[in-house]
Amino acid sequence: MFTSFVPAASHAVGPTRLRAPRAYPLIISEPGTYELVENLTVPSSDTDAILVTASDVTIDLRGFVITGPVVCSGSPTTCSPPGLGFGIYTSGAAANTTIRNGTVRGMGRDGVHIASGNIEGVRAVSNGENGIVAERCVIRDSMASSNGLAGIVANSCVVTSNVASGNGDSGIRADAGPTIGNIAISNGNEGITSQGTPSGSAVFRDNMAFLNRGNGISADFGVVLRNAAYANEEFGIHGGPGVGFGFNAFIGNVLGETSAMGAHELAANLCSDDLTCP
Amino acid sequence: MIDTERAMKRDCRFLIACSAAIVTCAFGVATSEAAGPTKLRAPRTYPLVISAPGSYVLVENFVVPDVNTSAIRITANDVTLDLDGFVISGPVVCNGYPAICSGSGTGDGIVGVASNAVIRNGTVRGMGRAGISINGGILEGVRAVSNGQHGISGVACLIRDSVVAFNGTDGISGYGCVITNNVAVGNTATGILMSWSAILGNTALGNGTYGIYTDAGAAHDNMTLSNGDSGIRMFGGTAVGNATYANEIYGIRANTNTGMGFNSAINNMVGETLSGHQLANNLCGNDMTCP
Repeated sequence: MFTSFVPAASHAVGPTRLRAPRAYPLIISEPGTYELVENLTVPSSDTDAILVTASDVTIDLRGFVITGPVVCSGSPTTCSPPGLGFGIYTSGAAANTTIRNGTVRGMGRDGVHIASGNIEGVRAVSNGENGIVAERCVIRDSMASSNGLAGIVANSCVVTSNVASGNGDSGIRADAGPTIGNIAISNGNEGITSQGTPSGSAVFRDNMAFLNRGNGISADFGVVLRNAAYANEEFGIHGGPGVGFGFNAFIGNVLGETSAMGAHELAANLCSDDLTCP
Repeated sequence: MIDTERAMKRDCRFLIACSAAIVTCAFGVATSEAAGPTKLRAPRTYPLVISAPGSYVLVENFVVPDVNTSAIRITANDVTLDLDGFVISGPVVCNGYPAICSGSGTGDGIVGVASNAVIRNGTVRGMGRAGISINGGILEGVRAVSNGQHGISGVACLIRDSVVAFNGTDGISGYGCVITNNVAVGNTATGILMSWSAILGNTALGNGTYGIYTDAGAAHDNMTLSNGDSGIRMFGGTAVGNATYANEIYGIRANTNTGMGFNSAINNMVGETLSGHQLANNLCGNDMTCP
């Protein structure tokens, strides 16, 4: 397999500049700061674009686009061709990675998949599996749309001010961290959920979930405050007895505004036009 | 046509930069350069059309000649446009609280007809129609001022850290967005008019009708004051943690699909609140018994 190790192009001072390599993946094996200076296009859905093998790497995409051949469309979302390639992927012990300011589109698997770090201002679109996957991280001001599985998958992260729309599975699947001020629209499963994650726990606040095929918001444990869930095809909120919720609005959800799974009402909620939530 | 060709070369000489990035100026000429964001200079004829994905940066101000001319048209997905502090301007002038504009037309400052655009860090002023209009994407650090119709419009988007002031209709309008940390001042109609959106931490001041208007949304932690109708008008969702002051109709006017809590409504002229359900206490005037 041909690969390209960075620095492929560098300056004496400042971030190492990344150009499209002759052979993918482009491998970053030293800590430091890097920036794209042109779009990257991988030749197949099995090819990774950027592989990070060192800790403490920052990559500024500078508005450029990493593109693969996968196209996702329809409702529910389906993607083709299938493949094994990631847009940006950290391997082994590589930790503390920052990715910012650019688009990853059309990869065979996840758009961005990091072990830990920060993701900000990233648009992950039409990737064969998840848009963004990270642990021990901050994910903010990003968009994940029309990906084959979930838009954002986060474990032990702060997830704030993101838009997840039209993904094949859930919009945001977040475990063990606050998920604040996001919007999840028209996803194929839950809008925002911690169910099915390792701990199933969540702090969901100030989010909006609507027109999702599953529940608007679901959790096994934690608190759900000040959210609005509209016109989802299952429940507005679906929570077990380990969930407390208050100051939310659940309106027009098809199976009901709240499920009968035992979540506790910490404070008033609005269910349709009634403060008596079932 | 030689003069035209020379002009084309001149106009496009800075539409250059990295790899396969392509910009098409009014004459349809494309140029490219070694590396970095494509630099955009003012074309001889507007609009400047961006037809390939990638990263672009303005390197000078743009000035359109009339209200019916657009400055930049984005026809490709995945375009990032850094205005780098420069100004896109047209001839429209709007003044007053709320604004009255000298005219309007069909010209937009930046219009994205594809998806997933990012626009940041600059000013769009005086266009005949919209300052900026995108279909999916991110707007950040933008000032949309004195445009003949709305300042910014977006669908499935993030709009943050921006100022929309003295535009001829609404400041920010659209659908399915997260709207955070923006200021909407003196727009002729509504400051922030969004459907199905999370509207968090904004200020709406001195707009002609509503400060914030949403028909299904979450309006949290905003401040509205001295708007020509109600400070916040909601047709469903949650209004939590807002402060409304001295608006000409109600502080918060809602329907029965709206839950309200922890808001303050003070010195609003017709009433502090109308309808909606109290999820928690609200302050109305100096009284916690809100109507």
